[in-house]
Amino acid sequence: MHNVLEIKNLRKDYGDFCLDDISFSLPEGFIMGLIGPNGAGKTTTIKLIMNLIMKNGGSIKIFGKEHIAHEVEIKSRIGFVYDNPNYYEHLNLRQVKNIIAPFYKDWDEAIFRELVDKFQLPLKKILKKFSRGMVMKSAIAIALSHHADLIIMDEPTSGLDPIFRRELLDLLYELLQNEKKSILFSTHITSDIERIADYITFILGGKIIFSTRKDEVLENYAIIKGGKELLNEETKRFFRGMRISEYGFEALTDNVDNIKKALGSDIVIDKATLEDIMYFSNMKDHHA
Amino acid sequence: MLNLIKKDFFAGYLFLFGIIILAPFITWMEIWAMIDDFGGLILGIFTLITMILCIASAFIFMAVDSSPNTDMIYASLPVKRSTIVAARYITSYMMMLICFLIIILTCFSSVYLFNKSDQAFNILLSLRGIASMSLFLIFILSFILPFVFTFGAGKGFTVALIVQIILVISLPLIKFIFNLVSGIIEFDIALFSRFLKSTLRWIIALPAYQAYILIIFIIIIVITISLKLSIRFYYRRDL
Repeated sequence: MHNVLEIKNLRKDYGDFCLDDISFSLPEGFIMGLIGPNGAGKTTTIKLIMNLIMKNGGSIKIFGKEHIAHEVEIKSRIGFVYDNPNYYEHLNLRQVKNIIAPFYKDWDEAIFRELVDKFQLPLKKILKKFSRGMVMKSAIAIALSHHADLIIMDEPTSGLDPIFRRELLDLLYELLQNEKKSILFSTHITSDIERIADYITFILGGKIIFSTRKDEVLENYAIIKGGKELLNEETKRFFRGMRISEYGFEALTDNVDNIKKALGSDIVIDKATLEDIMYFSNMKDHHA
Repeated sequence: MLNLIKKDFFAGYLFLFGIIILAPFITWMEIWAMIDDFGGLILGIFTLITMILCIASAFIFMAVDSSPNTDMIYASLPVKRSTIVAARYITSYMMMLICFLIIILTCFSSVYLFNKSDQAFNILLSLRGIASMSLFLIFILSFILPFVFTFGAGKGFTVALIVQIILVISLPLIKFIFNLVSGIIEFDIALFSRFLKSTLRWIIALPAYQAYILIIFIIIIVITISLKLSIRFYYRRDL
């Protein structure tokens, strides 16, 4: 199993925000979800991968090749969907397609037509009159129409209705089943990730919290609930984030075995969702 | 490259139609008003308005292209950034020269179709006049473009404009500093001035074909320097 994307010690400094020491890799044929709250560094990471911004350090390899030296070759094999796809608003989808298609030698008109029909997109309506969801669908149709090996999407499901979100996720999953494609997509809608991702990379404050298999994450993390009297400096060390109310506490841990040993049967252990992990990781001790 | 150029004209075709309609209209208005109200064409004002029209058309054409932040979309396509810059240069110069050509044709039409003639047209519509004007336009656009590729269309144009204004304002200051320095280190400003004047006289006195070769040579140098700067700045720009 080889990696289509390999990022090592990636760094980007904006002064007031720094993406620091980012390392992760995406194996071929898998879906990776890039999660994190707004401003965590997801879009910056994706922009660095696409060479839209200059890195301050580290390395990015795509398809085993350095991403700047082989930029044109690499980008011809990537389908990219930006979170705010700003095409020319005074043109219609057919015209936009006519502008973009010649850049890809593997452009497949039949796939494009199929996706346009599937997404019920009007070809002759100007993009200015498109809803955000329709613009996003157009960007997705364009990104999937040139047989890309790696699909990178920044917040592709934001602004979409739940029905289309589900359809899109099914489509991506289908793509992965039929062909050896890999997908990296960022979102803060964690339910989307839970539905289809194989790997999860969690970024917070410009740093990687974890980058591993989804199953591993969901197995390792748990929500612990109990009375406030159980909390002391010793037990607090096991928690990644905690919410304390007058009735008790609720905390995230990746150390379930030790918690069980320390607190015994006085606690309730629930499975943590990705949303829980994001929420609790983003807070330290929080008193409600 | 060709795809990028086609893309620019495809995206900006509405603006191109606008220029094809507006440029002759404004030029005719100018000629009519100046000849009828002032008794003749005021060469300085006419040239200035022509330049503003041509530069503005090139700039707005480019701004139309990058107004909805399309830069990001196109930088994600399998094209080198240097190719994007080069294509944008070609379309900007083409747009500027199309506008200039329309204005020149309008001038010819006013002379030969509407009998609105003036002595100033002898200079404006001569081959040397057209070549000099083109050179000047290319020089100004070449100055503006690196700023546009560094800061984006709107901000880049503003910065270039401010720099130009500062340069114009600082000319008397430079002269003053030269005078001051020549007083201290006995630098002969008259010698420098004589050198400039004699160079200009030499250029004017050149036979026509040599003058055109010189103009083409200067244009190539100016565009090359500007393009190299723009590519360097655009590579460093975060989109």
